[in-house]
Parts: sequence; C-alpha cells; structure tokens
Amino acid sequence: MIKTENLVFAYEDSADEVLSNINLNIEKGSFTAVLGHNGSGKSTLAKMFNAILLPSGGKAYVNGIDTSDEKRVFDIRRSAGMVFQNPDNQMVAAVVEDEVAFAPENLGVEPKEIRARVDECLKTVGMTKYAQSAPSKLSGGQKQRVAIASVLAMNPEILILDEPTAMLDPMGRKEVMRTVKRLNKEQGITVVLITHYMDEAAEADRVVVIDDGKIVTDGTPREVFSEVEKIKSLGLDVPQVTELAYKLRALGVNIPRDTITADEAFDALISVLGGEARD
Amino acid sequence: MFKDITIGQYIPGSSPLHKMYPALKIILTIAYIVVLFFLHKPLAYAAFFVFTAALILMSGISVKIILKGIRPMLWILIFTALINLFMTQGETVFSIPLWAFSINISREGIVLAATMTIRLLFLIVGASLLTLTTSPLQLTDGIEKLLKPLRPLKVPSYEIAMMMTIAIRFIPTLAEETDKIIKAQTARGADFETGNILRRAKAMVPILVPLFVSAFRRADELATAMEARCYNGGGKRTRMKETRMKKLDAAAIAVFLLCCGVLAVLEYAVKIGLP
Repeated sequence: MIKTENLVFAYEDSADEVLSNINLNIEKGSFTAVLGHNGSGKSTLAKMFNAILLPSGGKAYVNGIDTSDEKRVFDIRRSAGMVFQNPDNQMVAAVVEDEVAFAPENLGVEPKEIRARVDECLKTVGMTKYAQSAPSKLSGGQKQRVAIASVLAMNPEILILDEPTAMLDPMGRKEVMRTVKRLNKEQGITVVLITHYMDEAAEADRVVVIDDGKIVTDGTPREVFSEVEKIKSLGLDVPQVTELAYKLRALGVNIPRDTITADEAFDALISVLGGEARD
Repeated sequence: MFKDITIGQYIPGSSPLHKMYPALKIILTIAYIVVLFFLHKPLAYAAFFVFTAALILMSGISVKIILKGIRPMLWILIFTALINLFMTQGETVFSIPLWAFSINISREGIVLAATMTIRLLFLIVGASLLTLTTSPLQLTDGIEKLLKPLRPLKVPSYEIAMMMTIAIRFIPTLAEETDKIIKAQTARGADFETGNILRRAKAMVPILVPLFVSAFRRADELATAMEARCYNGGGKRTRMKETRMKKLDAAAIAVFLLCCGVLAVLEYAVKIGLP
C-alpha cells in the first residue's frame, strides 16, 4: 500500500536531514504504529504518505503512485486520508455534517452521493446523533471521531493518523482507538498510526520505531517491546504492563518478557502465583 | 466571559421568512430599503407600515426583540433628526433667538427630519428582520449565490463564502482561547479592570499578542488539513445541501411586487398628500 525507497527529507534552508534513508513497506489491511519521541521525524514521515511534503531524495509510493507526481496529488490524498493532532485546527465547517461533507464536496461528488456518504461515515464513527451540532460543542474524542469521519468520506484505502490522541483525555483516547481498530478490522482499511503512547502502539500489528530520522526497530509489538533496554535507550517507554513484567523478571519472577497486554500479564501472574501456592 | 457567544442575532424558527431562499431574501431586503427611499406621502408610509407589520407578524419574532435592535441606533436617529431639523433652509415656522443670531426652524426641516427618522426606523427593522430570520451560514450561502455571476470578473465568490464559513466556525474557538489567555494573565497578576481607557487598552496587548500568534498557527494547520482533504478552491466543488428556489420564493416575489404596486399607486396616483 505504502512503500518508500531510500527516502530522504530535509527542509530547504537546512542541512540536517529530518528523515534519512527510510525503506518501509506497509501491507494492505495492516495496522502499523510509528513510534518515536518528539522531533524524531515521525510526523514528517506521515506527511510523506499524503504528499503534503515531498521527498528531497528517494521515492515514496502510495497505492503504487509516486507522491512526487504532481498531477496525481489528489488521487494520493483521496486514497490516503490523514487525521491530525489538534481536533480544533482541522475543522472547517460550523456544523458536524457539513464538516464530513467537505472532502467529497472538494472531490466534486454528486450531492445525493455525498449525503449517503456523510450518513454512513457518521454512523461508522458513532456520531450520527451529533450530525447537526456545532463542532465547538463536542468533546475532544468526539471531535476526533468527526475528523476521522470527514476523512472516511473520501473512501480512502489508507488512514494516516498523526498523533490523533495527543490532546485528548483518557476517555477520548479510548474512543478514538476503538474507532480506529474497528475500521481496520471490519472495513480492512490500512492504518498508519503515529503516536508516542506505547499502549496504543501495543494494539497495532506492527511497530516501527523511528529515532533521529532513521528506522531503528521494526517488528510486531511483542518483538519490539520485549527489548526493554533498547527501547529505553531511545528515550521511549514500554507499555506499563511490559515494564511491570520486566521489573518482575529482574526480581526473578518467571513471567514472559513479551507481555504487552493487561490480560496476558494477569494470566501470567495467576499462573506464577498459582504455581507457588501449589509448592 | 465569552461562554455561549451568539453569532449575529439569528432566532431559529419555521416561518415562511425563515424558509426563504437566502439569496432572494437578501435581494428583497435591499429592494425593501430602495423602495423606502422613493416614498414621500404619509399614506404611502402608512401602507408601508402595514406591510412591515405583516412581515413581523409572519416571522413569528416578538416585537420586543425587533425594538431592541433599534436601541443601539437611537443616537444616530436623534442626531440625523436634529441635523435635518436645524440645517434645512426654507419657510421659517419659528426661530430660537441665540445671542447675536437665531436658529430658524423651517417647515421643510420638520418634514425632512420626520421622514428621515421614519425611513431609518424602517431600514433598521427591515435589516434586522433579515438577520433575525437567517442563520450566518445561510447568509453566507446567499452572499455566495449573489456573487456567483461576478465570477467571470474574477470575484472569488466560493473563496469568500469559504472564508466567511471558517470565520463563523472559529469565533467560538478563538473566544474560548481569549478567555483562557485572560485567565492565565490574570493569574500572573495582570490587571484589566482598573485605570483609564488608555491604561486598559495597553493591558489588552498581552492578550492580543498570544491570540494572534495562535490564530496564525491555527490557520497554518487548518490549511494543511484542508489540502489533505483535496481542497483546491472553488472550481469543480459540489455541495451536499444545494439550496434552491421553491414555490414559497416565487410567492414571496409576487407578494413583494404586489406591495410595490400598491405603494406606487398611493405615492404617485392618489392626490392626498401633505397640504
């Protein structure tokens, strides 16, 4: 779906490369999390997948289209929809349903078809009830769900989310993550989630860790997070559960090092405790 | 401080006036004002009053709210009346002696002051009826439709409409932000409430600077988000809610023309005017 070949990016007036030599291949229908701390280049990478920024060197392909092909920029943006961090700063319209209609209106879709898409997309993100509301009256999580719906209205194959939960409260984060996961599982939309929350990354199929513009680790959440020392040396954290497992292992408790969900930790701890009780 | 800010003075309703095609409503409001300035005879004004009263009744908006709209204009009304009263030359009715000279009040001055005041009153009522029955978004749509014929003259009608919609959308966001900044500055000892006007104006600077910086940042992010959703200005954009003229609008035009006819007869044909 998305492919980069020796991708390099540097801002024009600067010699420092924000991204250097990125080779990445994102499969159709996958859920990839891109992790990295502030300034690692992860948001810049996201903008490469949508032709908002163009590579200074190398190539980026979205759906087989070269992103530097100016004539097809709208094809790229349509097939790779992007949701941004600040929910307030990406809303154009003063009414929720007009917001969702914005993208298909830009694409010149027939009014009837737009209506159908708007209703469908609002239903998908569970915001039908708020179709007539003003965005300013919604909570952060609701605003981000509207933002997702407004991108879905383009019928994209890929959904790129650039730290969509960074400005939300825990409830809002859960709402958004649940919506994104459902879109990936039920509608087969390829998801690229840029984040610095480890718990969110743990829910992906694949985690790509970026540091200083380079890919440093790439694998399943289990593989990536089991290397606790490496992740910490990059200035990142591991999910809380993995951290707990890591610390318990250091104390000699027999718990798998690739524990990434609370349920797994629970089972592992029960079996450890049960085992000791039997002794 | 800025909670529940209302934009414009729209009062939701389901009257025929609310349902009219916004562009037509704007045109008819302008026509209403133009007609107003053609009238001179008291009888024509009486008929005009009846038509206006009927409109207000139809809109379902209370007279109180409409009169409220007049209040901020009161000083302009008084000022206009006085200027016309004192400055119009003509047949002197009586004069007020004032030291060396005297102020003459002319017959024409009284008539002119009265007509101007009545005209301005009707003008305010007509314009408020438009803004009271049309939401800002509908107004935007109306303005876009009206500017569309000027598109060949390079008038960016879609872009103007888009800018107005975005402005409407961002008023609550920026108001909230202003509130936050004021609170943050107050928490650090800023004083916005005491001192003379100059001092208070100066105190606004630490509010405006961060507000502007943030507005520019927002604009930048918004532009990126719009581009990401394939916005490229006007052109082949379609609309989900295409507003169209309906039977109601045709009826509105007919009623308006009929009223104009009645007014024309009263103004030009009937020979009962001022003596």
